[in-house]
Amino acid sequence: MRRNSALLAVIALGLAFCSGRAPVKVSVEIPGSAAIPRDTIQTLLLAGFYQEKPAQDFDVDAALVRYLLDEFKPKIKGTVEAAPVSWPGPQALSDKEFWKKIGAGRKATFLTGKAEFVQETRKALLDSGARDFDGPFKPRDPWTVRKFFSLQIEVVLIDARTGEPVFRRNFQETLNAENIKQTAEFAVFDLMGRIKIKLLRSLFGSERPLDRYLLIK
Amino acid sequence: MRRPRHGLPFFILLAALAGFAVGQMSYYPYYGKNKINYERFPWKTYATDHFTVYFYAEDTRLLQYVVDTAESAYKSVSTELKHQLTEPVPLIFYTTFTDFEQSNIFPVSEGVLGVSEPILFRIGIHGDMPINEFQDTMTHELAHIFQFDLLWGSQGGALTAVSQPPGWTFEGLSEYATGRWSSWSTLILRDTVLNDRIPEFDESGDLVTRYPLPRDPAYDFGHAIYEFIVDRYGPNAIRDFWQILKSSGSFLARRDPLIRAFHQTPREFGQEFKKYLRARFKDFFARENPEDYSVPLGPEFPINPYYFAFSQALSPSGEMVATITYNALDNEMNVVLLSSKDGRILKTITKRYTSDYEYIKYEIDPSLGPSLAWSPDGDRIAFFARDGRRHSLFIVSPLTGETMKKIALALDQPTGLCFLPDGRTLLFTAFEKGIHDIFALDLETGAARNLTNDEAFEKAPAISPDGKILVYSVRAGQDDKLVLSPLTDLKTRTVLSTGPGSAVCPSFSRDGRTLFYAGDARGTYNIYSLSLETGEVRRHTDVRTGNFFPTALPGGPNDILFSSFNKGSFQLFKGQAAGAVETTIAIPAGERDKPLEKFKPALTFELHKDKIEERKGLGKLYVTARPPVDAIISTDGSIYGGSAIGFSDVLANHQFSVLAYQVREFRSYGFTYANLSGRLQYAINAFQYAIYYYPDLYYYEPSLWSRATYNDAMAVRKITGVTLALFYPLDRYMRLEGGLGFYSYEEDFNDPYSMSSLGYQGGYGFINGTMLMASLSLTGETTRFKPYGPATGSTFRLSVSQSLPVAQNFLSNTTLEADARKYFYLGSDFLFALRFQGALCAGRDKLLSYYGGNNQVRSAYFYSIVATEYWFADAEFRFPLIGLAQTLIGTIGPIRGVVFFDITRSKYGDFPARFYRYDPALSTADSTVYVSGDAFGSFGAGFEMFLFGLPLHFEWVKRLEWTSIAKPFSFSRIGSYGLKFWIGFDF
Amino acid sequence: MSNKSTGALVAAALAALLVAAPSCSRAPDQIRFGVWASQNNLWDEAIFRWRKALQADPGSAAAHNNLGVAYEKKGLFEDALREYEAALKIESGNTFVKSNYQNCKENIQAADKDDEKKKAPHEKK
Repeated sequence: MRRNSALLAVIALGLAFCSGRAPVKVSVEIPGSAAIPRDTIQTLLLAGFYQEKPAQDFDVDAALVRYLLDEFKPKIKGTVEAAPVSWPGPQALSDKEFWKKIGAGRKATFLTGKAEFVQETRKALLDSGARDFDGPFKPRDPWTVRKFFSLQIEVVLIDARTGEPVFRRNFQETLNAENIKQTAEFAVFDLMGRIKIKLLRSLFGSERPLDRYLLIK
Repeated sequence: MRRPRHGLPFFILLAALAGFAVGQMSYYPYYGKNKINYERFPWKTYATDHFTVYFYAEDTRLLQYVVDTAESAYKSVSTELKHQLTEPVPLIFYTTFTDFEQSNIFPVSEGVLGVSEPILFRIGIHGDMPINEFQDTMTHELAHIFQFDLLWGSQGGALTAVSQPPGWTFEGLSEYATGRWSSWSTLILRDTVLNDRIPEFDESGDLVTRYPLPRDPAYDFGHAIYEFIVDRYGPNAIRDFWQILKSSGSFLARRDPLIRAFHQTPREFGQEFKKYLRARFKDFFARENPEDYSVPLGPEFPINPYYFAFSQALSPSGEMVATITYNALDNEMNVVLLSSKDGRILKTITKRYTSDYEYIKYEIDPSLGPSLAWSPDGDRIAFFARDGRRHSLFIVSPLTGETMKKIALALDQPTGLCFLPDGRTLLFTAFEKGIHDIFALDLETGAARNLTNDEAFEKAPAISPDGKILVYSVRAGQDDKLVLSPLTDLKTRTVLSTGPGSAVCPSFSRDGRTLFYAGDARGTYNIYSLSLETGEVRRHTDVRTGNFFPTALPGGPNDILFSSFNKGSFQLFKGQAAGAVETTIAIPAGERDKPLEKFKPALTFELHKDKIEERKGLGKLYVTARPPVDAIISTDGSIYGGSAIGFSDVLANHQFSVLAYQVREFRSYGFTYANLSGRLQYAINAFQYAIYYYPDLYYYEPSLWSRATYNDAMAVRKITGVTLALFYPLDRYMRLEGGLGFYSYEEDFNDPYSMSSLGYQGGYGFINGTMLMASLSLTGETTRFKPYGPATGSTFRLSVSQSLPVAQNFLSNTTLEADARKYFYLGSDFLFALRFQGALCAGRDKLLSYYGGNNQVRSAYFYSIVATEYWFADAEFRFPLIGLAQTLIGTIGPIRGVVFFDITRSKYGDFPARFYRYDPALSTADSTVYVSGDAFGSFGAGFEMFLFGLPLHFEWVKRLEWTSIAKPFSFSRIGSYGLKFWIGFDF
Repeated sequence: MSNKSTGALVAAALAALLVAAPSCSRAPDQIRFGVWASQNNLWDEAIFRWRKALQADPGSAAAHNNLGVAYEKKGLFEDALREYEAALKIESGNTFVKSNYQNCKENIQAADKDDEKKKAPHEKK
């Protein structure tokens, strides 16, 4: 062992000398590909989302429009307005004439689509192993109750002059809330927070951090 | 916290109650001052949808206020943050501020309106404030609870938090959640922006400022930052930002939250924020600076060391002004006299570092009226100061500074002083059981009479020169309105200010025909005057920030003395401001019981009195603190490490702690239960301690000296026992402590085999046995501390312990102990420190004491002096060397120098009271020579520096010896100076 | 192994190190400077340096790879792919370049999928 230690020391030295050549990992903000350059949008009209089964206790469509209004207003130089429509049926989404008529020749883009919101209360028995003793400390409930929320939306951008769709994409997010007092309104807000990141990335090509390696040698 | 502290810090009694739990003390080895629980509150609870309210007030109207404001706050914060809390929030309501100070949960000092804590999500709040401010405080604190929940997920989650976002993220959001800007916050913000002193972001995203600010920028600038975020990025951006803060809390977080949320570095974000603020206040840039028409008087930090002028009182001649100011050199508030002619500070009339009172009361909010008054005869200046549970009125002589009179008050938060023209009565405002009224204090009898006795919030009374008319402000909705009443009938009111905004700080001209006041109709507080004869309203200034407390000066009709908020502080100014007529009003006739607008919370609930429950017993227990970890190194190189964990009930009246620490291989454990609910407090402690020390071998076997090593000579004392400790605070500074304890002692050498192999035959006199002991002690501490340690005052502890002769085999002894220290502050952080400490143990089974090393007797090894009777005395001259220094290893400091002297004498059992020292110079191979003497000590010098919060000492020590203590000036210097290093706080 | 031969081996290794060390630690200055510039978010400067490195040494896989990363940062994905492919031609076994190339393609393909989804469902083949 003593004989080889000198050699080992030399090898270690060599490694130390050459360690400055190791690749450098960096996190780089890389843009996505923009579906629509945001500078080209003069007017964005939020027409609402068609729902096959609207929720009884909460207006999902109004919440989505309100959320998207707050999101797009600071991000687009043009104007952003709510422009609710009366849906004749789900087929209206693909009906060019329907949108041309509502658009009335304006140089604008409709943001619309379909939405489906689900909320459920789910219960499960916790496998806690040894039972907790009753004592002066706060007792734990063996049952766990969660509120489950799911939001699925199809976002479609339609040129108001031609009625043609220029962007279409589906998004879905779910949320399991430990807090059973979580309301539908707040859950939609949380779910839209996640959907918004992906929507804006695919719509405007917003940057996101990705890892890359830079070589030194 | 709602507002930052501006009182003196104080130490939590629990530190002393936990006995050996040294990790809890801010400075060791001090005894701490007392937090007195003057009364035991009969707690009740009331459950609402989102709160469990703990209260004790009999008047259910107060509970109604609390419930309405709490649920209104919950609705607004929940809607703003789109979040629901899982569990009801424990909301603990104290009727008055002085009751709030008795809380065992929160460290409360003057100026604190409410507190929230992240472990159990408790909110503490008191009722000594107007109802709209109470609503804002409730919203502010509740917003913190939502922040804790968003960040750490649940009650107790903060215990395992690795890091915490910058303060502005918390305080700013809480201020933003109120939806309002107080006039004080607006003042700070506007002044800072217009004087180009906006705080900046450092690399870590924290707000830093190069200039003094009256309070932490986290509050007001944090508030503005959130408004900027909403303005720039939309209302959803706040929630998105907090999601990112939550995921940034671990070491694995890759990027700064500002970059992740807004794609800007802190620097870029800060620059955009500055532009936003300048644009927001651009209309004010063209307005006046008070120096455009007046000259500053008195406090002008850093030109002189006085910072802030909290209200003023003019002498009858008009040439002198008294003001309350902060002396930055002494770190103390004083009343000073200054010249109104040239602004020179003439003298300080209050005593420095007095223990006559704890601190002078002053108000940041000018609308509450002046904090001091000068009597019409010119011979008395009155102010309030904290004196025990509440405040007392102090009347001092401006001529001599002597306290002429002290009148204790049974009222809370007194302020707004005003002498009546006869000088025998003083008007002021205060809270009585949660209601704020105007009182008249008879200075002869000390009796206080409530003049208004209504639910309105009256402030700042001002009396006309003829003593017939009183003008004051009354809170109406969100504003303050000026009201005039005859002094003899305060139910009849004439509302003088009917326009928009507030009118505060009224004062009369010398002829009584004109009323001066400060009004914010133009968005800032300017000086106005109202002619009581013609109704003409004149605006005298158009200032950028805010002018207050206008006082007419003798001389021209436009000569005024006033206070202005300028460059981060209130300053006094004197000037001429003719102004221009704004309008003319018709002063209406007085109306009896004229109603004024009342603030109403957004939600109101019906109170179900049958749901009020008495609180009994402990309730559930909770872990309440993350265990601290402490480390100390002694002069013999031993390392102490330890930790503790605590539990308590929701009100923290019953506290449990478990302590464990280790020195070398010796472990100690302790369990404590403390009951802090009343004035008499007690603690039960069960423990096992193992302590090591080095017996002085001269006392039993000098021949072993040359053969035993340092480790051989180590002895260990193990004590197992149970104690009951009682604490009764006599006042803030002194307390009685009593105890009854059962102890089992085991003592021996750490390695008895090693000692016997060296030829030791035994008989050293270790204590082994059982003892039942009663003790009584008197402890007092008036010492005031600065960041580096004690600065002024005194500390003492006298105790007597008697072991009870329960059985023959129980240990029997009596111990007397004394510890006395005195500090003479010389100014500018120079001071003399003296200490005397001694103990005497008599009886059949004398207990050993061990001391030496560190700053006790520096020329002795750590804990190497063992005695049954001893005393030692230290004298140190401490002085500053370097404030703070930037070095390669970071910022160190302060660095302080010390010149020291100490002396000790001790006695072991029946042996003579002498020490023995092996003298190598006199010894030979055949004979070992020992030198003996009555006493020995040390002399030398060194320095102390702080690194990572630990005080490190480097000292050069020379040993001194006295052959006879009867000749104190005849001593020998032994050997050369030796370098010693130790870590620990100064005595 | 005898003491003498161990000693000789050590001496030889040390000598080799002494000779190789300067070139070991003297990685192309332009490339190293470019990496430092990119770490300070100065990507145009980095591109400038790496292009200079290529002028001095057209066979530098590091310069090609790093330019690929820079072009990705600027959204010039075609140019980025071209640079990664050039780097892989020089050092086909370099796992770091392969990783960059693969990730770049995935990023572009995610965008292409969006383009696919722009078409109405019945228009998809």
